[in-house]
Amino acid sequence: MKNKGKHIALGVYLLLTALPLLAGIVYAFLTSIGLTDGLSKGFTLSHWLWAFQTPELWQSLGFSIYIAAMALGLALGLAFTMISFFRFELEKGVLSRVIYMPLAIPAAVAAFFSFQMLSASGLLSRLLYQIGWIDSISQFPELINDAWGLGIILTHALMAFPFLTLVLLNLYRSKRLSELSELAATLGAKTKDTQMKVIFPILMKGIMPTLGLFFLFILGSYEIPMLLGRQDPQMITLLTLRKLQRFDLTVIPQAYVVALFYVLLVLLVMLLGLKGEKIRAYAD
Amino acid sequence: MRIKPILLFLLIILLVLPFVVLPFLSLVKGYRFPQIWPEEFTLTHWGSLFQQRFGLGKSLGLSALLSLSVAVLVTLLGFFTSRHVAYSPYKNRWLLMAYFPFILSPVVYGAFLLYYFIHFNLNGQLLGVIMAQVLLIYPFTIILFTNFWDHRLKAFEELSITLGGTSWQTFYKVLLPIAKKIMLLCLFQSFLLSWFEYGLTSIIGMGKVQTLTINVFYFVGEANIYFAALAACLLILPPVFILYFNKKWVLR
Amino acid sequence: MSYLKVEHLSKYFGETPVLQDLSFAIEKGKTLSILGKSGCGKTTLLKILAGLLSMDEGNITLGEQQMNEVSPAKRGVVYLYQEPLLFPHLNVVKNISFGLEIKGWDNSLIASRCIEMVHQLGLQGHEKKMPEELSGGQKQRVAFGRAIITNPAVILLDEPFGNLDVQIRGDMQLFFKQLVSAYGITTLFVTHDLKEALKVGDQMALMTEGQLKTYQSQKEFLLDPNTGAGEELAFWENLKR
Repeated sequence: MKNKGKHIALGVYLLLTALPLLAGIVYAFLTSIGLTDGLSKGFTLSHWLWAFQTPELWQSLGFSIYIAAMALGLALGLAFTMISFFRFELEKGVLSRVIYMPLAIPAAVAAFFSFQMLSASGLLSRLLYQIGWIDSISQFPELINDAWGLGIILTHALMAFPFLTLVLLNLYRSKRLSELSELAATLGAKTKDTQMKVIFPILMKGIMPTLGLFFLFILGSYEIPMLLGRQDPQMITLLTLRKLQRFDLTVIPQAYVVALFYVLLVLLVMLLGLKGEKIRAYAD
Repeated sequence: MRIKPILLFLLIILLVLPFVVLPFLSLVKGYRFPQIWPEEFTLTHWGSLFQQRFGLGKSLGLSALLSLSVAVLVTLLGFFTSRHVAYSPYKNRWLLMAYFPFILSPVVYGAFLLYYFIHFNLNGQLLGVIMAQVLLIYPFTIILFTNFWDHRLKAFEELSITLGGTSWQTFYKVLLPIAKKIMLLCLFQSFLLSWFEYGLTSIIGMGKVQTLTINVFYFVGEANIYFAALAACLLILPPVFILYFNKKWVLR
Repeated sequence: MSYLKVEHLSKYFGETPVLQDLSFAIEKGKTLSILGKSGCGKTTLLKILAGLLSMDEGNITLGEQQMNEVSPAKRGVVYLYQEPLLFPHLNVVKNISFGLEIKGWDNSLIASRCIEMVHQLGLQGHEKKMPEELSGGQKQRVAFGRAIITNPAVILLDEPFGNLDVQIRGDMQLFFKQLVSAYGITTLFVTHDLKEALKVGDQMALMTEGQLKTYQSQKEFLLDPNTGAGEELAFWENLKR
């Protein structure tokens, strides 16, 4: 009886996690080599060759990594600045409450909000016009649908930094950094030494798993680049869907090639992360 | 030079700005560059919530129904199945699978699943979107609940049994009361995950299941920023409400 | 006359033997102290006796009845953990009455038994408190009371005083001894503390790496060099000189 319950539970778990994922990947792979639908002419490697012969996929992968790294770097910088300058304010007062507010904003809304703020006719542009910094709409710098993905990076960074700040704040308490700083001071460390040799390394180590997850979240994000990005270069999720939802059905296998490459990339990041974890675990 | 108070002030402005700008945009009319202050404020956009032809009221109801069903379903499923995952000798290997849907991006996961949803005729339907969201959010509840089933809880179960309790009594009188808090947390968080979801919903729902997130982009596409802002306001209302009562319920 | 009897009990985890051919018996109403270091298999033994783990070989009898296949809920063997695991959602009285309520006792009967037990435990005035409002010693008393009130055939104690301060620890050992003798409950007590084993136990045993050695008397136990008692005695003798 007891074992029956266990088997049912683990069965449901597999049915809802591994099975759909595996089934999806198998179908995607078969389609990518031309073995599934009626449109294809049988086994072919042409779709995989397409990936190697044209730069589209590589540009998209590169662009996605660039966006995720930049946004995360910016967010992390902001978060560290926050807890260096405003740690007291983050514990008490208005800031301690409003820092949670961005967590109530979904990506779809964040994308729309950024669009309204940063576009050429947006609120920021109007403000600059009113105070006389620009004379016409065309003078406002391109922050939306720009080649460098500035709008995407900025929006992701603004969404991520309050969360990262809260994680750092939590680490600050749980790792007893105030006490450790005092200890370092009694051992003769200057403020700067304490910051660089005690606080920063401990926080960085603690926040690594969160950073890894956020990197993957931004890498696979969709709403924000959809509204704020341009068609070329395009983040990987958008490229996948553009090819999947084309009227030209012969492009669909390419969509799956892109998606499978993405899975490989994620697995690689994960393996690196897990390996890092293990090395750290041994070091401890 | 006291620069810190100024920075703090700007920071607070930045953090609350969306909660000012979005309601503002939902209340204005004929708002064109380079105006900062609009010609006219109006309640007509909000009034359209009660008019059928715009479909916003219906969209709100649909989103609420969808997210509630998904939240209840995954919380119950997660609670019962996570116990066996957590107590398995291969816990970590089992758990790895639960991370995939999110780190793989809901959109890519959706692309993989689409064929099967079309095959079973579930695409473009509410039921299909519920199922797809369950596939996405259920693994998250497993991650949440496996921390709950620890040695201490196992000891509580054993204690109850040696004191003469049956499995049902142990479940009902011990596990459920202790689990109440985390189940509530799970319910709220999975509700929000569903409420915020866009990518998977748009792929499987094919634009026919018009949730609020879908509508934000629909109205942006129609260049109707007032309605898009209104839909955005409706989207952030429940999380703000939940945040007001308990910060933990929103922090993921 | 032995009450709890264990014969040739063995347990393997995979290929590794955890308990090897254990045999012992406890007389009714007496306490057997088992001295053993952590990792010697003490907890595994207790969980097998409670029915929470299965054994690979052996025989357990309680009174006249064979226990091998009896479910944990029906054994009347209560296992007490190292920490006084109180149900966090129940107050003192509700924790104590848990076992009786589960058995479907009449409410007025439960109430009268609880009043009696709270008095025994010296917890008057704390009846409505929640676990987090109690001190370590008070929690331990509640845990004892909760076990004893169900009138179990056997109580198994897994280092129950390990988390207490030295001062309270001594009091609780004494208190526990009085409590089990008042209710005439057969007890198996495991600890890694030599003095505690001697203080609480009527019968003695030593466990090392999954094997158990029993002794006829406390004196025999003290004379065995393996228990470490000799060394301790010698230390005190030296100090006196």
